[in-house]
Amino acid sequence: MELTTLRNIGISAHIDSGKTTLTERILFYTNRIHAMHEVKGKDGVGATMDSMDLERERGITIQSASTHTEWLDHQINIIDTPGHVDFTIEVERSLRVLDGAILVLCGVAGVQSQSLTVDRQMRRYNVPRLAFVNKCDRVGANPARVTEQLREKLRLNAVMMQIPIGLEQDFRGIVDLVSMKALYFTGEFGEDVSADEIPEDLRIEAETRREALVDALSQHSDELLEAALEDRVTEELIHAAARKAVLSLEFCPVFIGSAYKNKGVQPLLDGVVRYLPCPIDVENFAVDPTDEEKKIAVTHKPGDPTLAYAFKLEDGPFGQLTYIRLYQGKIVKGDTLVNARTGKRQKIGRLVRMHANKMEDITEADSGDIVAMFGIDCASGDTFRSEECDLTLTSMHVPEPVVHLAIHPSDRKAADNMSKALQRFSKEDPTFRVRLDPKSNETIISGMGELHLEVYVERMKREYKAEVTVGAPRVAFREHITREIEFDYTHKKQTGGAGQYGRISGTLAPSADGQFHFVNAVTGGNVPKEFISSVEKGFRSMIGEGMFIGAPVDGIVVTLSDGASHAVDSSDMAFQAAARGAFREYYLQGKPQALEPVMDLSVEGPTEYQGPMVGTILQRRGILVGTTEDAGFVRIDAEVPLAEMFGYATTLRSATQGKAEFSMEFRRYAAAPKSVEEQLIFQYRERKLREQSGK
Amino acid sequence: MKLSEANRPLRVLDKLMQGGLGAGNIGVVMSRHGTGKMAVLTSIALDHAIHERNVLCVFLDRSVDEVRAYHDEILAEIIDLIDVNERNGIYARAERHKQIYTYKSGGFSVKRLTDTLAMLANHAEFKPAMVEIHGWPDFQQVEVQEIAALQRAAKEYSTEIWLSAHTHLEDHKDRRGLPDYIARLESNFAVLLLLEPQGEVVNIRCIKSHDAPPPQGIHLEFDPKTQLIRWR
Repeated sequence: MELTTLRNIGISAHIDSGKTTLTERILFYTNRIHAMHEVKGKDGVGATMDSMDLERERGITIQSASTHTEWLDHQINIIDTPGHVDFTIEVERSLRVLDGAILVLCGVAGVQSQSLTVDRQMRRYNVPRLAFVNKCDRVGANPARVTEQLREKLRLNAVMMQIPIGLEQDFRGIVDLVSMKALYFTGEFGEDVSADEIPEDLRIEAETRREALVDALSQHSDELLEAALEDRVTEELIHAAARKAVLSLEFCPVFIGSAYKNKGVQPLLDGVVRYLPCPIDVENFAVDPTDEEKKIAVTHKPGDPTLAYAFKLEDGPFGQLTYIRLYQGKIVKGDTLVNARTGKRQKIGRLVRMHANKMEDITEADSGDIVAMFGIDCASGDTFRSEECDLTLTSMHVPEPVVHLAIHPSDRKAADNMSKALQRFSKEDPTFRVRLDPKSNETIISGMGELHLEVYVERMKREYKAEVTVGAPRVAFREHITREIEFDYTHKKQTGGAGQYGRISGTLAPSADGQFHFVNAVTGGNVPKEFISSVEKGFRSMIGEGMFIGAPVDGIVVTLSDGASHAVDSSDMAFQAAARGAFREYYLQGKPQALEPVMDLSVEGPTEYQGPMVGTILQRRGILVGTTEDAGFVRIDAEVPLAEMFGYATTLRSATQGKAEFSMEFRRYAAAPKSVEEQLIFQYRERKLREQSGK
Repeated sequence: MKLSEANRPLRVLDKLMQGGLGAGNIGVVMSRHGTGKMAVLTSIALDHAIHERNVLCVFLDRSVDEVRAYHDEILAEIIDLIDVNERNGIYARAERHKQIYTYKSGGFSVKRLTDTLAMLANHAEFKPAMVEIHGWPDFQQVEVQEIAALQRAAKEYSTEIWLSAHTHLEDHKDRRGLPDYIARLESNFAVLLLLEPQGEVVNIRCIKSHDAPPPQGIHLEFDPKTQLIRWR
């Protein structure tokens, strides 16, 4: 396969901006499916990309599925990405394997708080993007305003490539500003695109907009600039300049249409093929596991050793399906590949190309492509490589879970099913964790938010028939010290046999970045070199549970400056014990503080509801950070402790008659208020007492 | 160093203003483009916030994220200066006591400001001791009545209001260095600060300090590298 004709794209958007309908239409026009269904279809079938019942019911897409299709001699792999922030890991995983994306926006609501989060993620992975302003047939649709919002709120250099012919119920077609033709979509499903002269009343607007487009692109292409000055701009020059600017993330072309009314989808597909990058246009890196600092660009050459990234697992009726993206080399059915994490060799028995729930068998796949493998045992995020290769693909940014939920199976059978389900989920989703609390003997699941966990509990019931009861969600607290303290500790034991001796001194200090740091400042060799790492190990073993509220210790800098050893009695064990002893004895002198996760909250709604919106935030110990007012709408940014956010959706809805909406993302750990802290201290002491009396 | 020490330049600035701008008054910081008006006003605002006095930061044509990132940067500079043991809680205090409001140009007026102040007082019990406004008004165009209305708002809500004014090389100025279009509004302003670049630093000159003559012999400057005010 020619790499230049391959596009790996994602479709990212806010819930309800019509992403699933758009995907459905794209698949229809590219001739892969023969009947169209709406998301909340009357026929009860649901759009093709949403494969899970739960998604059908809620009208949202939770899991991303990859679909292969073709347009104008180009191969396109479409990754459908979820729209809710609680599932960010899904979005991030997809973004990792994408080369470009379509950002779908509702023509009425425009850039909403969720679009901001999605855009932030796209920026993180440097994903070039096109915007599609959907729902131009709806009352209140205004693509020009949405384009303005893209420029202002998302700071994208967004420029319209098209203008609408009529809007709302009169939306009839579009004017393509590159070819300067009016496009109409006829036939039962808008499958016939016909070009015509631009309607007289739109001529002036079209010319002004085209000028703006050429102007914007001239800044990225000297050729176009020259051509514009000499009045000999061609379509090819515009396309070339737009492609270059999109690839360098300096330009965001805006397409318009209405997927539901079958308008504007084909030109968008042309745009995908024309402007979005092919795999070799994007730099991707692997790392050398022996030196993680070293980044090695992947080659995408089919002759080089194979490197593939497993970004998604699905449990289907025929076993585990693993979606992979190839970055180098090729995979041929029957090949043996090595899982870089486990070192296990695995034979690729069956290779398929996925189309939502249908699949085609293939015999080989080339670098750059996205395909799926059957019967491979792995976790998502794993790297597969040929045996002669020792690289691994960079691990992704995986956030720590911030919410815990205790779950109990209702009976014996449910318990078995639950453990199967949990095993599966934690493999699929690195932000979903499971552990057994040895103290209470409860199963605790952890994740990124209330809805995140709720969805898994639902899936347990539906897909695994595991009836479970759940406790109240709890947030993941932490603790840290607030001042620097000096320590000087000697571990000495003389109880027959070999003695133990280790003395260490230095400081414990708060660290700003929330990480554990160990600084070796020993001069003169009072602590022998071989025991320095023992000291570090000893301290590190203590930070999992602090002694203030029994929570993990967030951010501490241990500086070891001096110590003493004994020729016979000093050992790895003795120095580890000294470090643990020092931590136990001195930690509380550092005036520890309980920390709670604080979220970035964005609430958006009409200005007249600003008061009630502010009210809901302040009731929840929120701190207002900023407010943006624009044309009757207001967006309030706030920091709110996660502990107060359970059930917020309902509160906000009733306070604003459903007119406001919100999105939330983890920001940082911050000091918990005294009342919360006291309660945590109390619970910790109770627990300690119970444990002691238990012994 | 201690926080109080790190903040000393701002106390010196207060001295320059006979104890500060004060509730009910309007102050103006003026300079040519890119010489630190925003940094100087941000330092004043953050100083209030760190000391648990509320501030309202109003910006035109900027995003909340942008302003917030800038505040974080300046806070990090301050936190860097002071002892580890004094750092705890500064960030939280600053966040709790400041609010950023952003508007599109044309979307802001004294009426919007008073609506916002009323909303914050009623729904959030947030009564700012200081309001800083960036990007409004256009001093060449603004009507005297609008500035008078702003002063009434400052009095009604018992807050000090800082404005920033863009000056130009070709402006016609009086002998104090005050452009005509600001001079015509002077009676409404209690304090006028002029920023003048001099080599690597920017001098902060007080042209008007309430009704007293500006104190002599105090030298304050702004360091564009750290974005902080310094006292020499």
